[in-house]
Amino acid sequence: MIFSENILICMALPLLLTVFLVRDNARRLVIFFLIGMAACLLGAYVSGFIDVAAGYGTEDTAIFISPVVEEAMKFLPLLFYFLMFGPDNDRLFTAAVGVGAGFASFENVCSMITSGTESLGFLLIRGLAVGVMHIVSIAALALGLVMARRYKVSGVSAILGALSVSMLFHGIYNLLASGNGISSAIGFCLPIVTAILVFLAYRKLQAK
Amino acid sequence: MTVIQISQISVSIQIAVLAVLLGLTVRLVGESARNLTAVFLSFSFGLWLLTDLYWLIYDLMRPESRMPFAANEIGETAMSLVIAAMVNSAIRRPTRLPMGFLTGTCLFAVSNAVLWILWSGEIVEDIIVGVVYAWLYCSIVRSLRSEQALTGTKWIVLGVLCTALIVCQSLTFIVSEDIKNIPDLFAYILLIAVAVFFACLFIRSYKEKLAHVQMFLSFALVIWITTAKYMSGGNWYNLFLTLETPGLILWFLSVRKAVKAV
Repeated sequence: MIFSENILICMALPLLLTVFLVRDNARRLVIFFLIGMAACLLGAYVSGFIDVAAGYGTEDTAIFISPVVEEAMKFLPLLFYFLMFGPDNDRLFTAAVGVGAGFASFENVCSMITSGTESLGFLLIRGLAVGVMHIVSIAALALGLVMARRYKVSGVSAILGALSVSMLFHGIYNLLASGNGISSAIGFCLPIVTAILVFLAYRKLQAK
Repeated sequence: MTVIQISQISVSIQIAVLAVLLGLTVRLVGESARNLTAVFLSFSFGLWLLTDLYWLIYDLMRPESRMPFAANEIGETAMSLVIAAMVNSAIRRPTRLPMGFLTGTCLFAVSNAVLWILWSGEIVEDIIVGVVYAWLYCSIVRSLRSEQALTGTKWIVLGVLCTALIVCQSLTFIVSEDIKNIPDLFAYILLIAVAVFFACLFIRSYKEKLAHVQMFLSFALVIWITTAKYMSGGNWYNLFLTLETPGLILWFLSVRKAVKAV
């Protein structure tokens, strides 16, 4: 058993001080990084509750429920920022990357404390796969919101559509990573490959 | 070859076709100066592709177990909403749906949802999907009415076929096991009959070169095939699953035709 709240406080305090010392985009990134960490903790609470309430079991909750809960938790602050402040595309992407990085970092730290830090290979795989996956899924979500605004597509269908894309991506990753051998190898490669594709799509969109 | 293996092959083909169609639709979005229907079509294909992929991976990794609530159910619900938004975006002459049509369509959707619940026991999921499908069916009926794609008599025929289908499906839960196959077979015949009905109308509109009517009929045809898939099991499920793929190609071709005609 670990005390995630204590870890969050210890990680958040220096970052919180940083918010007062930096400006503009750097401040935005730090704030959303903090929000991402808080979203991770809240997501763990919700997943834990569903695990107990629905009786899925820890493994099935991690594979099937966590992608839905975690993506929703990451999406909510981003959606609030998008709807309330109407940021431009760059600011929205900064916010998205901040939330994704904060979420992934906090999850990685908690995972490391739980499973140990002896194997550098395992930590690198986890860092690259899970870290990149959270950033990619929320970047894809932000891309969906940017496209929805660009093509003047608003409403529940567009928002839920964008959210589902990231949930499905995260769900496919979790499902593949839960297996052994080739399926987990494909799962671990999936975020990096998708990261490259999303980056290229964003560059193309910016060029237009 | 087992029923599950046939499903996996059908879904794999559908994924490959969807990947190609997604690429073509993204290109169509650029060519059509960001036409909204084309944008929604690309969203729909993207979601369809991911839900298929999720289902296939699950089926390959856990072939013996029934899938619990997972991300793909939200994906399917979102996909239905996006398809409804696509249908609504393509309507040129917005019209209100008369009360009779609205009631009939909603009754059909509610009956479907009740039958799904009776079959699977997943109450919350089926209610949510039922509500979304009611919205989707209403959008399709509204689009067909806006283009006067069906005459009064054809609407009555469609209504009678749908009612007979719900009656036959309901009977399978009521009658004894010995004679259950009879209403079941009739239900499948009716599912195919309505699909053929929409396919014939589609071919006629193709000959008459009515781009928008053709597009809305292709939407109706594919959504009907999807509904039929959800109502079926075993080899019948595979049949409708396989029929979806050419239906998706028809979607793309008819949307492209309608978008270019604007």
